[in-house]
Amino acid sequence: MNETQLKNLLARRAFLQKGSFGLGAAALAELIGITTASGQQQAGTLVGTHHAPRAKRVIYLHMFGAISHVDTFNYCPELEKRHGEQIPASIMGDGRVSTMVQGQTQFPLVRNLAPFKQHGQSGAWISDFWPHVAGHADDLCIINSMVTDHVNHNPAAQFLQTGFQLAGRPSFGSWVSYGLGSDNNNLPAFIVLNNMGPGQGQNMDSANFGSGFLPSHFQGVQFMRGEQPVHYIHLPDGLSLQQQGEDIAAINALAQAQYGESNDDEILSKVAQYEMAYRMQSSVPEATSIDDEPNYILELYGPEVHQPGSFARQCLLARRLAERNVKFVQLFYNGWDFHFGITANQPVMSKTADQPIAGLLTDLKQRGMLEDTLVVFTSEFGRTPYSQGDINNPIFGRDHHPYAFSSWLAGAGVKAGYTHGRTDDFGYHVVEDPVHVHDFNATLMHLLGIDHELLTFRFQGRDFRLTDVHGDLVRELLG
Amino acid sequence: MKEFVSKLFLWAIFSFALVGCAGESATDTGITQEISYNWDVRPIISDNCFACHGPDADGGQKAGLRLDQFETATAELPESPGLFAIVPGDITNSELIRRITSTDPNVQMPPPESNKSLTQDEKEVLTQWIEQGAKYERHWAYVPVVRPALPTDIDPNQSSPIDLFVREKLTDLGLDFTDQADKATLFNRVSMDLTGLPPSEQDLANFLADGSSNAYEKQVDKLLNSPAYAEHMAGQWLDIARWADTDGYLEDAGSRLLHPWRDWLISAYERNLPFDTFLTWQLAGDLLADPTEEQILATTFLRLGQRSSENGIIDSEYKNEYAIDRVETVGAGILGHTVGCARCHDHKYDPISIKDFYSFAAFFGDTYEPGFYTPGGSMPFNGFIGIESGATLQLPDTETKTELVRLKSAEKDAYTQYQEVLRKITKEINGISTPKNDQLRAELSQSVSEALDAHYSFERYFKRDLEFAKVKIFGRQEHGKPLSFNLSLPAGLREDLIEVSPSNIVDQVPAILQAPLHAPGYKGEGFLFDEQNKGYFGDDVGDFDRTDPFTLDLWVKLGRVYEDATLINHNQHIRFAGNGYALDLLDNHLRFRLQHSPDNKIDVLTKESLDPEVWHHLTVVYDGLSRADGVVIYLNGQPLDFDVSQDNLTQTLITPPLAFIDDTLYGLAFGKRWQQYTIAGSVLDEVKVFKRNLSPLEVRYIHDTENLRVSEEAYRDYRLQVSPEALISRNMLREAQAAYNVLYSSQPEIMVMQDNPLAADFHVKQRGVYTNPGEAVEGTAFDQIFAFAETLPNNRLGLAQWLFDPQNPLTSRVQVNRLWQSVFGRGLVETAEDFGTQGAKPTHPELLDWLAAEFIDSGWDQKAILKQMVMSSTYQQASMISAVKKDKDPYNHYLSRGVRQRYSAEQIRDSALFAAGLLEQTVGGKSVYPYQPEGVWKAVSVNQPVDYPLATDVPLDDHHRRTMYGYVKRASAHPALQVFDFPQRIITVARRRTSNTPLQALVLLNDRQYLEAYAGMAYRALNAREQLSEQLDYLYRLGMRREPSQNEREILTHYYQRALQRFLENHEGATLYLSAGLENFPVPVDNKAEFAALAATARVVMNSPDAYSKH
Repeated sequence: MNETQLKNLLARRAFLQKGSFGLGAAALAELIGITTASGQQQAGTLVGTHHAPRAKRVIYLHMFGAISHVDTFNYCPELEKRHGEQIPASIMGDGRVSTMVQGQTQFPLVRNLAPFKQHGQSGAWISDFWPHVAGHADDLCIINSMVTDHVNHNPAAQFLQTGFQLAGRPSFGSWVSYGLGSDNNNLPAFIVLNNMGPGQGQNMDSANFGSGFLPSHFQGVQFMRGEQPVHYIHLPDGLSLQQQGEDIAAINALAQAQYGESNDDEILSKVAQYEMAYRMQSSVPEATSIDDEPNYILELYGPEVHQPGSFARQCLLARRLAERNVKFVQLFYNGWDFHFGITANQPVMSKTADQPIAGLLTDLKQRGMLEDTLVVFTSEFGRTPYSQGDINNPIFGRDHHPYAFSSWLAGAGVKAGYTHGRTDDFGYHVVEDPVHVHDFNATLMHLLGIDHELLTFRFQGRDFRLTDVHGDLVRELLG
Repeated sequence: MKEFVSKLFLWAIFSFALVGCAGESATDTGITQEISYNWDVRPIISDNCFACHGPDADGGQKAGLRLDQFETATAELPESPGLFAIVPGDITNSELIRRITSTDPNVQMPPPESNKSLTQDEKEVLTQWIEQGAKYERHWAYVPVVRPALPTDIDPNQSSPIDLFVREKLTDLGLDFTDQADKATLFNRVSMDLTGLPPSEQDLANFLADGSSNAYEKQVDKLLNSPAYAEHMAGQWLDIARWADTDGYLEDAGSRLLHPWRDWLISAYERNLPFDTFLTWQLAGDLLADPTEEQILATTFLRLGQRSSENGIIDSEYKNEYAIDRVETVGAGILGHTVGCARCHDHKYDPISIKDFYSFAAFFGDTYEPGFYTPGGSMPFNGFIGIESGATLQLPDTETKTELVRLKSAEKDAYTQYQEVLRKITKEINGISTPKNDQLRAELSQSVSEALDAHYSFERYFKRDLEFAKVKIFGRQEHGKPLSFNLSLPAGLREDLIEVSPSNIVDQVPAILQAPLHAPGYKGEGFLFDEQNKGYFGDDVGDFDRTDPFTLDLWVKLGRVYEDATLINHNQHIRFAGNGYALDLLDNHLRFRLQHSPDNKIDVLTKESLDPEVWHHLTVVYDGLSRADGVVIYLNGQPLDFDVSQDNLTQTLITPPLAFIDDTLYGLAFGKRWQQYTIAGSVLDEVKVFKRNLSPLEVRYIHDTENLRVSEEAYRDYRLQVSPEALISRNMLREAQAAYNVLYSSQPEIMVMQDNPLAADFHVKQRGVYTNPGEAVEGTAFDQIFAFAETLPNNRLGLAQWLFDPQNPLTSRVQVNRLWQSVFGRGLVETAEDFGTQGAKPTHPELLDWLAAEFIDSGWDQKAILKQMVMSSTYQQASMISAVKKDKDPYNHYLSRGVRQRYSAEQIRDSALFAAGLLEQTVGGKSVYPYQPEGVWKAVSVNQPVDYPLATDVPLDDHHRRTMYGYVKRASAHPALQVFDFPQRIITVARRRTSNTPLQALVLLNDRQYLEAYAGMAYRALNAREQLSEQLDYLYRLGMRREPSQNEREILTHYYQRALQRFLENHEGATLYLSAGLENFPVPVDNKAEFAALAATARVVMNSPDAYSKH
């Protein structure tokens, strides 16, 4: 299918499903009614999934800037023992290092910056930076053998999110909403929440949640952190929502007349966008307000949940959006790029993330939503087990590291209480069960009922897919 | 096989004539079964084989096989002697065929692990192609443009050439043109396409009433000659130019003065500058013989990329980035090639090696530009304050220009006069003999002491009343006078650590020293440096501009070899352009700089380095003429040889008032400064400043007053320089120069291109890493695509000449395709930014080539080509889509009807303002700040609380200027433009997307900018017509430029009545509804409800798809 065919298909479906072209009172009633009606499915391109899905929706936590795997989920006691020693040449080999340490001749190992302990019945090793998340050890499926091809943020993040290192391919969330459509008629299928924590940030390219060559309504809709999560969502002064509905009914009536003149299917698709815009006007403020959240829920997410725009608040919003059947909620939490000052900053940054993420898991679980919600925690790569800069200078850091990093999954369909894959004793290379980014994506797709090789889009004469020409399902991760 | 052939045959009909664009078969116009390498074969092997067997030489081809060229593909396989991948005409001996048809995983190609596989059809294509002789062709876009013959099966007299080509293809498809659009629709379309604005009521009425046969053409000519056309075209070029108001990197602060370039751009389109001239000026205007101001201004194009003013960046890294940005801009924007991947490795698909990439970058490798930019004004409205980095052009107003000319000529006169005086005195003193030693010493002693301006010998130190220090050391901010006399200690000075040391000159301010260490000096005591201590002589001392001749003289004993440390200086920190002069040590070589900005300076470095642990007597003499050869550096009375790394000082050394600076200048300084290393362990002594350039004899005298050996020549030189008449005349020259310098330096300036003739070699950056230089390269354009002739200069002018060589296969095709795109919505090559092998193929290759040839032959006349396009029947078709065409030409690739497409962000907003009668049509000028939701900027500025101005702080008209004048902040796009695909302007964009999202509906429904415009439309309707039905029709015409249908009329009337009812019931609501914008529409209170209901109706009209879509 290509773009135009797809637009036509979707427009026709929207038209058939809602038939909101009618004039006058009937159309109006339907329009107004739609805000309260439970959403009919807005179909994607797949007629049914490829196999039974385990996950109905995804909350994707991307720790942007790259979190250190050896300070979080990959316990390497050897680092503790050999802190300050040079990393053995046999381990490092002649692999490429990032430009940041190119002038460096010494590569002393750095210990795990916080002690690791085993948690839960599964005995998963988790660092003390994550006390709350550690409480969910038995819900997690930890992967310590992630591998990527790229060593700088933007290419690596694009690679993780789109399967390709340069901007221009559809992101994971776009593929999912293209394939599966939306379960919510009132909110976009793919919503993005960006945040910058108290760490070292990196510019976030919107291509990380872009739709690439897919039609643009599949791109992630970014919700702002301020008072208005979506620009221009406020009704004009002097106008009620009902009147807005009347206006849109009139607009659509004109559109229908224009469609009659031109036979241009694009008009149908515009009509669908107006209807969605209308519904968003009531659903977005409702979905993003936390006024109705009881205290015991707010407490799960930690004290920062009271600050609008905090990561804690966004974790809570993620749950609220998931609860409203938004298919794909993606949080980019920026600030993990500790080239220097990692000892001082890692604890600060972790603290802002730990309780909110744990709170999110608890909240989902107690609502029964963890059953069919997939929670993904990852970053674009890991950080070096050796020091960037002089290890004797307290502001040393860790550099980018593509050869091994850690991610975890929780919820729908994943093997809980399981740790997958192993690195060498230094956390440098994967030595057991590598999970390449493409494999990771193939597996996430599988959990959503999609065969990653079959969901394709023809562009410039080629059938593209998220995993390019790679990717193997990692069955061990499935519950 | 038979089935395959027929399929291929059909496919050939369906897509395009397979020939005509591909070299040898160009004359063959029939449908053919011959397999074409370009259209059939390359796509298959490019996708499936090139990753291992392609042109990328980086890792070497697998098995030594390279498939993208005939010679290598048909050669004996290096690893399998006796075997050949391709034997033309012989499939049984072609290893390629055996491999692609094999099912043995060890033999099969592509190998199973590549996850690539060939379809049966693809295998057949390759087989047929080899059978037919395996003919390779050059990629269609690399074949020089040859004007194709016009199709002959249609009478050429009845159609324009464009129509002939289009119709030929339609006929093949069994289709024909759609009827011409009705006049009103057509006029609206052509007006929007050529000017970005709808036609006025009057123009539309005139056109409708004009029954003459050339009525349409007259209007087209009128549109093409309007300022709005120039703005609309310029607006599109701003995408290519990645034009924005801010720097981009990091905090994205830094308003710079850039709008004069945008104004130039508009005027270039207004004058219809031929495209070759237009672009040559932008790429190399400064390199033309005797460039005009306009030609230099045009080169700002290349300085518009992102800039960094981040504190810790490495200069060379960013300089490299800027060069790369220029390659990518010219690559995608002008050559239609996305070349970025070649910055790290040879291009996988297109013939651009990493060496080609950096050879191209070498055109920009010697640009006068820092990696680190001086921050610009960070607040909106302020614009740029301070010292602009890199090469600049001064932009005085006309009056000042005249004054500058006058001052320049006065300067010249003064110079001639001075030379005259010197000649006269030379004659007078000719034959004069050197006096006896005692007399000579007395003479020298007197002239030297007359020139002496300051002398500090650090003999005595006092704790002094600090009031004294406060008054004397603060306030040096403006030419010649303190900006402020604030009596406080300068920042960074600690009261408890201050001592003073008196001058040897009576009544001169003492040196202000912080935490001085004492050590034996050259004479008596000296100032011993540690890592932190420092001193200043006060702001009267050493306060020189570039027009002042002066001499610095000091003794220093160096503690060791210093990699990079400052000795004595009178300049701003490098972060603030390093404005001033400084004597530094680089590995103990002496570096002397007289600097306006990092790229406007005199910069010299002595060949000799100074030994540590011995006393050196250093004298730096500068003659005040702004040339490196006016600098002499003496060691112990003997001049040192030095290398000049830059010699282009043209502006003041004095920091402008209100410049954005931190490390304030207090006078000639030494010791610790922000982010600079000191000469810790060294001793400074006997610092003297002279207010003129001492002659060599005087320098020798002050080095050693006793042992003078003097030649007659040296003595006469000295006498010449110190004769009272010469001194007076020299001073007049200084004053004349200063008058010019001060005025010239205070003019607004814009960044332009200029090369440093002394720049070092430019190198390939291996794997894209700037610290990893490979071989040195010279400026050369993509040689493998089109040879860069040896006769061309290896600079930007050579690049421009290469681009406009009529044989260059890309320049004309790419630009003509973009012009096509701008009126037809989609290029003949859809990927306007990529004409390479992975880009889209042209739908009408012959038409593209015909237009490209026409464009060249017209003298690169853009208006003429556009006119041909809009005059064609192809363009004038109605856009109604018949069922047949929806089926046979679903995407309108074959132009079987008029274009339907959403308007651009600019067109949507501008046409709404136009309909409202609000559009403020001033052409050019500074960027403006139209309505934007509050807090959008704040969200992205982490450290600097810079926010967009409040709507009420913006002049009302500025809310109504054309969209192209809106301030563009790279890190934070205007949200109402962004949702309509307005680009970020970080990289060049040759083709915008046309997306469709609910956020667009929210803008058109709720944005105050639009609500105000709807009220404006209502106000116009209310005033223009009395009857409601007429008002509604009028309103509709304003929005749509056509009459409503009966159906539409009913919808609107019905809607209006409902809206009126609700506003009658809620007067308050009507008032609120009408006050979204700041514009005040004087409507009587009694009519409020009607007014609001009309505004609401306008909103309905303007949100209907045809109102914001081309049709």
